Amino acid sequence: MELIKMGISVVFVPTTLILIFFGTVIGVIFGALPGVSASMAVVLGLTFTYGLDPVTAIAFLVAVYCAAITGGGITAILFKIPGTPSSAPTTFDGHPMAASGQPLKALSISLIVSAIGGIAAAVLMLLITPQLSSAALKFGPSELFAISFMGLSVLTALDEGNVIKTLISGLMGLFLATVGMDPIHGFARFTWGSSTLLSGIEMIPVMIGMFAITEVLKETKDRSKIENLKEAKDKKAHDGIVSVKELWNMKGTITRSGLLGTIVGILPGAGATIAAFLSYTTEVKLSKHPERYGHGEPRGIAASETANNAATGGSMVPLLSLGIPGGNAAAIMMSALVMKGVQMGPLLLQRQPEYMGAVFVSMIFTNIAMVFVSFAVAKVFSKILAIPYNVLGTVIILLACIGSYALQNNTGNILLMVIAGIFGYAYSKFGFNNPALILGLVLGGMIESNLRRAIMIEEGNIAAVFSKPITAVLMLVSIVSLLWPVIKPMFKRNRGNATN
Amino acid sequence: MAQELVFNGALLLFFIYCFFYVGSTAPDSIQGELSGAQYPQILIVLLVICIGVNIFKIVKNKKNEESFKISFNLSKFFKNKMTIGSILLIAYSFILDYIGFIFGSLIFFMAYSRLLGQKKIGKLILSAVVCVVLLYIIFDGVLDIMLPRGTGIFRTFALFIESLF
Repeated sequence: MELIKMGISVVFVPTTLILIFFGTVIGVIFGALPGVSASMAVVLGLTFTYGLDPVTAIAFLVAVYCAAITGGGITAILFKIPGTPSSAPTTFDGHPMAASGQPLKALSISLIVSAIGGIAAAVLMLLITPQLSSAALKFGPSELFAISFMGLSVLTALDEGNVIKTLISGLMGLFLATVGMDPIHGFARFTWGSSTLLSGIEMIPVMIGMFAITEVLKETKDRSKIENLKEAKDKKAHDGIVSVKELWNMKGTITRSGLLGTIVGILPGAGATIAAFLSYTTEVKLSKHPERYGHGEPRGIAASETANNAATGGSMVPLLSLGIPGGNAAAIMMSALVMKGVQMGPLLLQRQPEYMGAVFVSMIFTNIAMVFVSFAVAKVFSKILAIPYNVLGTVIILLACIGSYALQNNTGNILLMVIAGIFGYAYSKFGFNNPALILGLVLGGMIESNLRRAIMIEEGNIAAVFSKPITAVLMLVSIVSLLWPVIKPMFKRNRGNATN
Repeated sequence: MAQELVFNGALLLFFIYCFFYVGSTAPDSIQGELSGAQYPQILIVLLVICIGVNIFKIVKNKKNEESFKISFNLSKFFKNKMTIGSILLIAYSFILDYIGFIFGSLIFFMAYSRLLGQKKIGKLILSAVVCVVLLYIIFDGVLDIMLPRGTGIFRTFALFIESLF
């Protein structure tokens, strides 16, 4: 209760409320624009936070993130083009429903269940985070290393078809995090005499480059998504809003998807996209009429949209309680806070509980406001989509450049962002994984300093570091999780042989 | 595929160099701790193993292909939209310090927008002016983010514009 009061006192200030509302509007618009993912929306939103205090900044970024996830559903339903990857399952039933003359019903289901999922996840986040944070306070360097390593353990799950390349990407992220001053002894590493590299590789320009610039470069070379919009652009939404009774009939789907979405969101690395697909397939499997899915079944929209919004709340749990990001967007938010000098980790909530309160209240406010904002945006969206990509793409680049420059008023950061963007393009062209590299870069510092401190405390006895009960369990879970995509096909093969 | 092999080979060579570089530039390690050089060296060893496995996989797949040659067409490379886009981005990041945000962005906007398919000069100029001015007002005027002013006449112009807010 104290946390909520604190959050209200932070958020319900006119300027903060206006900022959160603004964040909701740009989040919905960015999320709905094909080619602008939720992570990219948060990256672009970063630029607006440089002049803000850290608590207001996180409240604003949370608003952008939640609204972007919801915004993705608008184009998924109206134009069969998911604005964000997490809205892809929404197209399966949302678009057929809209095409059959019920676009407003499909939209209203999507927006209302999104709000329900987001609010429920925010409440769960409020309940779980302080407990997890208190438990983590008892942790020493070895346990903190194991937790950070757990954040990396999902690397192989990011792209199961390319385990080696994803591992290389993650390891490269960890390597890049070692550039700059040594965290224990303070000598220069991999700086080649450059004073710029002494402070390490700036995470934000690298992220902006790899998320925004890489995507624009891909679109520059191969315009795939935007061209298809013309055919659907003139559709008008007309129909009734979903009734309370109809929503009540979907209570099982909403509850299951909300819980599943939150849990998936909590798992580091597994974000809104996995949550949406998992919930959708779960509902199809549980349904008595699976044949209705894919042809305009309202429960299909409810499953996907509840889960992807619930994942936003879930992803904030490891970020606020342990200082490890639950996904790309959370990693960007974490970098924004670190940049402002906030010490992430279990102590954050003990020393500055206002962060938790502000995130919670901002999420509740955003989830309510975005329903109205999204309806308004959906009505004018055919006009917004009429913005040609030659303008939109270039504006995205300029926003990205301003975001990188404003960090330290230094054009060197723009160059770093451009290099990261070009490298990210080549990297993804050859099948490597940009989010895995970012995850490694974000977690690298924590992993290194905690591992080295743990070994120092045990005077070089590595076995003693890893034999501590919590560390051992966490490491075991992490290793199984890391190797699972490699082991799984072997299990399947053995089972297949046994059956034959 | 050949390009992929070259990319992986370059990564492999770079990391092998980094392994020895950090070893030669870091101070001697103290007994009973993981030194600042040993930690990145462990990462590099893992990276080299993984890249080696990846190269092996690429070469193994190559055996099934009839021909394997590394071809590089310079004119095709420079006509590639991705290459032109990258050059524009790099050039933009360099000229900002000299001609400032307003002029640099106007030129960049028109060039990149042209690359993305806008052919009408009138629309190019109009969209560039509207977008750059809007962004300038939002970030420099409203949010107080000091954008690059450039040098000489460009700096004088930027200071004049700033004095209007």
